[in-house]
Amino acid sequence: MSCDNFKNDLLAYHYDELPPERRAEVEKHLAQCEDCRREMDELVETLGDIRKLPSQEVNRMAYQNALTEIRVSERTRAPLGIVRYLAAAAGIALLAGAFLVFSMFSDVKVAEGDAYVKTRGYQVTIFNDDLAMVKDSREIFNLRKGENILEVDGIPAEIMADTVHFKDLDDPAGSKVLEQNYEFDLASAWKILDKYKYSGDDSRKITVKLKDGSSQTGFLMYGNARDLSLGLKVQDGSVKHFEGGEVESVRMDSVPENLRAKPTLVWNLDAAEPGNHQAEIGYLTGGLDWSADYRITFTGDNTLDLSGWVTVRNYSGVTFPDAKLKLMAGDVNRVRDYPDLDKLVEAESQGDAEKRENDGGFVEKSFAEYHLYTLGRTTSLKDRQVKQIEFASRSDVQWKKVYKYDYQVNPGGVTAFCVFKNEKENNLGLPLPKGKIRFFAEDTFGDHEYAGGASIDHTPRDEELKLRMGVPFDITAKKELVDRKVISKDEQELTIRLTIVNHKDEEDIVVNAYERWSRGIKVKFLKEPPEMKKENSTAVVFPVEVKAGEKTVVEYTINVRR
Amino acid sequence: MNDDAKSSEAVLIERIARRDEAAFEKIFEALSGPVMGFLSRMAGRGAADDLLQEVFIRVWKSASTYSGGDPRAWVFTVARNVFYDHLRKKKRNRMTSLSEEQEEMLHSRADDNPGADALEDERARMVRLALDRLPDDQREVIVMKEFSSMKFHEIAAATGAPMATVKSRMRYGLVKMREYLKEYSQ
Repeated sequence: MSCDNFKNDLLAYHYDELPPERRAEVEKHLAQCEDCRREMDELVETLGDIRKLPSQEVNRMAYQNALTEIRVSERTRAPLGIVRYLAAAAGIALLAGAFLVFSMFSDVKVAEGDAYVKTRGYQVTIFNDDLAMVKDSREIFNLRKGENILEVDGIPAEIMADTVHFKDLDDPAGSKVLEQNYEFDLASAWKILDKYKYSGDDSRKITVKLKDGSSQTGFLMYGNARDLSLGLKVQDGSVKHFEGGEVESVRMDSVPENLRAKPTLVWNLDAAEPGNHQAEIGYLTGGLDWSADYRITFTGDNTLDLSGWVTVRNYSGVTFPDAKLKLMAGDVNRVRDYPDLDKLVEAESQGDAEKRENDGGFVEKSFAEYHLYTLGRTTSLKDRQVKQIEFASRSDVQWKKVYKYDYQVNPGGVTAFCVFKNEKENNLGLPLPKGKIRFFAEDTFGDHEYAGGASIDHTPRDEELKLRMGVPFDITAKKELVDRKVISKDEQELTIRLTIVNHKDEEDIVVNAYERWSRGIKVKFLKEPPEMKKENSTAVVFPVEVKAGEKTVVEYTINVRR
Repeated sequence: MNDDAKSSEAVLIERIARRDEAAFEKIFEALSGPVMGFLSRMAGRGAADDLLQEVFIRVWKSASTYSGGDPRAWVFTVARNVFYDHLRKKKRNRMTSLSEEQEEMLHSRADDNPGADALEDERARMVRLALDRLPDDQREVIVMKEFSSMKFHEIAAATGAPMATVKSRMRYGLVKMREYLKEYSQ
């Protein structure tokens, strides 16, 4: 048999993935064929080289991030969608009757004369990291002296129940919440069915409608969420088993108690003064976030237009009508641990807070490392809504192009940056929240074409912005090692040549070139490039001027010690 | 990978189709290492973290389309799709937005610097360059075998190529790498 029949199985032999008979054949051939033995050795040697390459560990945050993204995307489906999904998976259609009961639950149940609450308005402060603080003004009606049970709905499902605080504005000292229960056992198809499992209560019958058109009424003895089957105790006392595939729908008379269609806070409120009271409820919640987006349009070689929007996303499950909106920017990384979030937001009213207005309806105030933007008007944040509000629109901003060469970033090309000052004299001078920037350039027909993107960190007024524009194809760079003297195992002298070619027809350029090295390595320049400056302890930078259509070569020598 | 583990991975994917987060965590624990091995070698370290997330988000979203078969191969089919989408996007954005590439360079090529970092292990650098120079279909087989510990039949199922083709791609890839390494050493 020829070698070709075996060569393709050499690797499978190496990995021990051949059936015993074939393995014996390959083994026998290898014993006889020098050519195949040599190829086998070479393959294994190359594999040995590959196995020495380092592997990358899985970042545990990846799991958390993926899960968060999944939850966010699931959340943007209506909760009803989840019920429908479960119902569909179970072959169960929750019938209209059940939903009617749901809607009854969504109103606060009040017996005549009982205390009840109504919402007067919201103030929503959205931080980073999927966190918001809500101040909810309510009016309490019919409060009687002594203990009152109050049900407060219109609460996000992701409320942090331990952060809820209550303040009676009419009688701060006299009204106190003695006990608070957060009830979030929301109704879902499976939960409802689970509550209907027979436990001696003869009133809880269900009716199972089968796909063949017949139906059976009885008590639910068991149900299996995995295979979607259920068992029904029927009138003659026997238990009938139904496979999931047989069931068309399940009907029940009411939603069981202790299941709610909306998350609800239930308070035992002790009041000293009877009557109607104004109150304020504050809490932290997830389900809201915001980000900033910018658009830069290059209108000339040195001028640009800049516009910015904030995008607010509300997937909290609650609509905040006519809310006062505040957005908190800056490094609020540990905001969840911040002990006095109230004070943080209230600080805006303090005299030392710096206040600046801009033309987009937002007022900005800075304190400590935070920046708070307050929308000058109220706005409605609907549940499952993405809202965009413009906060900046500026024209004729002066900018310049700066080139940089850094081998570690791009060995063969230079990077172009758009640099401008965020100051009033330059038609800017407003704090720019962290966000994404999209560049647009005007083409010869005056249309705007997308020309790449960048991102900025929070940039206060008067600071310089340096935005990465991309890699121009008409400037090339080459870095070569032209000489190496080995002095010892741990010391070498290296001569490096950097060549930058400017293929542009008209523009002379200056490229800032970087030489970097790892920490722990000692570097001494024996021959420095012209005008070299130290950037930090492990990098230097030097300018390379290149005229249009020409090239510039820079050579330097360094002594490197380990 | 024994049959028991395989069938339990298959059950996990079916449970994910029913929105079971516990099953999702288990499948992540079982397969994130092999998938990371594939992504970090194919796309570079900088991009691999984000792509890994994307792979598992897609596993969650498309678990309902899993119709039996080798569960590991199915997850790797998802991983390949994510990688090739990333590659297409990268090529499309090459002239405009290079931030991803820049990120990659910073991580995967940080030690390619012929200057001050020349004391780096040259052999490892050459092996990496040689591997990166291979055509994608050869490179992915070598990577799945060596960095994701997959069997040839699993690779065949994940790539949709016959097993004989998978074996010959790996063999030709290794032969070519050996030539490149010779060239670099001269």
